[in-house]
Amino acid sequence: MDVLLLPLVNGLTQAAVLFMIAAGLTLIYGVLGVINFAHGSFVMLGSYLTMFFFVGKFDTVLGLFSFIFISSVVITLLGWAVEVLVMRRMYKANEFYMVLATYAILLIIEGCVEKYWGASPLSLPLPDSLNTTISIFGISVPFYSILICIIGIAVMGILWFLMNHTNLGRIIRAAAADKTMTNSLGVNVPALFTVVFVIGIFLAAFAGGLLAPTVALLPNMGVNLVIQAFVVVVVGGLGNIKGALLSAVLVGVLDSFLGFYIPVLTGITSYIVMAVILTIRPQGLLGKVG
Amino acid sequence: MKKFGMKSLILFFMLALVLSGCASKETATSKNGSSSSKDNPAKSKESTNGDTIKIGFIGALSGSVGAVGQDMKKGGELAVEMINEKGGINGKKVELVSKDTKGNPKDGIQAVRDLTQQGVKLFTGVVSSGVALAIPPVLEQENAIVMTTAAGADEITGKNFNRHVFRVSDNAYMRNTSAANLFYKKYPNLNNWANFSPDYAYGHASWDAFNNQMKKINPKYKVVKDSWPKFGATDYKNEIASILAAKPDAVFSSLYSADAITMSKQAKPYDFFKQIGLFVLNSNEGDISSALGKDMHPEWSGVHYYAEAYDNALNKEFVERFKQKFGAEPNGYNSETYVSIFAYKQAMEKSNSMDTDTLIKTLEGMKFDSVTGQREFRKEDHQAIKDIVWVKVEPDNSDKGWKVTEIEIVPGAEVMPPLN
Repeated sequence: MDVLLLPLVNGLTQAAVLFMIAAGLTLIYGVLGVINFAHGSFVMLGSYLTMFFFVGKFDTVLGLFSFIFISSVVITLLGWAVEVLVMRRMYKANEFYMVLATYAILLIIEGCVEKYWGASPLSLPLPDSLNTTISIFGISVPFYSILICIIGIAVMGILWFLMNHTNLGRIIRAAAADKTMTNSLGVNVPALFTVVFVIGIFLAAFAGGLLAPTVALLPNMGVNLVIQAFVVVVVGGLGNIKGALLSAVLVGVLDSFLGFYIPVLTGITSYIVMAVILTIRPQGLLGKVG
Repeated sequence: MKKFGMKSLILFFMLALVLSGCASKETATSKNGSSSSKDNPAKSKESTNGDTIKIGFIGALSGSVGAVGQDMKKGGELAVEMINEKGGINGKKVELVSKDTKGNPKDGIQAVRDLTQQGVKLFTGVVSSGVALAIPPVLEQENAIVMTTAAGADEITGKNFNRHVFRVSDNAYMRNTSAANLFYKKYPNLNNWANFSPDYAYGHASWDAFNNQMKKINPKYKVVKDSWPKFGATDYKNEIASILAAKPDAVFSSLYSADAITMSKQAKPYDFFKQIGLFVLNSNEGDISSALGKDMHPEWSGVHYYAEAYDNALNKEFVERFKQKFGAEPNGYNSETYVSIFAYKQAMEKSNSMDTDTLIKTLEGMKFDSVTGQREFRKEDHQAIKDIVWVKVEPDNSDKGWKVTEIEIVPGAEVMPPLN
């Protein structure tokens, strides 16, 4: 039993974090048409800011989650500034320039973090009360992993509600389907772009904050995450949130299982999953053709 | 919906590849303020033969092991500063010029080429063994020497021996053979070992040396679990749980830097370090302990150098000056590059020459005093015979969160690799 459950829980934890990053990435692509290369650096910034606010103060569970939230809000403001000052000027340009612009943002953020916090790996201690395992069917699972899974499900629920049962969600879906039409119907598309970008950045920063107590913090830690999240986005179908959810779970769990049973594949499993799925369905799991 | 942007996808992945190396940084550290060298290579070439000796520092200054390279460079800077205060080498001022290798062989080769263009013949540093193994052909071509100060692969001074390469620090064979000897002696009842090392050359070389030596000396030795996580992995929970399931008495690991930190954090909820009797991490220059702080676990760490392990005049001076300049106690990355520059100094003064061939001959078999006592470059393979230092780290209630409670020094001569 444990050989099945253990990689499953670890895979789901990974999936929860990947989904939060991928959901923002795919949302931004779907509406703005931009592949946001800088996404990973907002995740990284989420980790660093959480550490910065948290270390040495209010060493409690409440403290940790408050600071993850506060950091995400601060980074969301930064994301807002980036959208208004940089992105907005680029929408009409060739998509090449867009990718390069977001790449430049990534380098700037990474450079600033390295300047301020240094290149050495840093660590944020998890409050003792979270640093335990709970027993599920006789195997120990870190409590914090379970917590991340639960938060992932909650975020998913909120996003689903936002997209399907609010006015904003309807407009976002409309804009993703046809920008010109949406604009001509009186929707302020530039403002909508800002809102969508900011939601994506909030999710990224939040994921970074959640991840912070479980890994070593490095200025370039976002790169691998964004590449993995991007695999998730492509597998799920570009621009499709449901697809991102499905593929985050698929990629996360398969990565964990394959890594557990065939250790030599660790690290490349997500690409194998991507290659197989794109061969069968080039448009991604839930992507539409064309 | 926007059409599938194939071009930007390709660009995205191209940039992703570039990023794994990150942006290049070139810095010229000069105490005389002669930063013109880069703009005018012809002039600087001349100045080498004139009144300045340029020593090139190459190492990963950015990327995932960038912090290691930056630490190493600090040691070099301090050595150069101290040598210049006392009149330089053979009456000439010394200048340290540095170049980022980003830890990859291609950039390493480029770094050597660029600096030799500026008239550098003597190199120090090199974090990655991959770089150390890639640069000898260029060194030969440019008639230059490198003294590696952290790269641990046995081949560098073994199978891939090149007379232009010296290693002032220890290697994987020495470090991990000494671990087997030491921990069998100290903990004779811990026989069931698990391995937890990164799946690449360094991890395998470390484990092979430890494993082979243990098999030789401990008849009851058994490997109950062999785990090889990917280098740079961010999730170790599956491996942690399966190692615990195998119930080892002791765990040997050659994870390092960020990987070791991530592993320790993820192992803590499982009470990993309480369930095993002994955790040996073969490379922790205090960087891992400091990052973990109050989360630090008990372990025996292998180090190049530990400031309090040595009570000699050279070490006292080094520690004092380092604290003055950088406001922190020096670690083994600082010390090895520092030592290498003084080794060059001794060779240049002894031979009163700057000629590469003469310097190689002088360095071969040369004995020199260092912060860790006397060292010697073995003539046949250019490997320094130097002490291996192990420190026992235990968590405590101080602000730092941990302290060193025991120091063990294994003389290098006991664990030198056999010559082919």
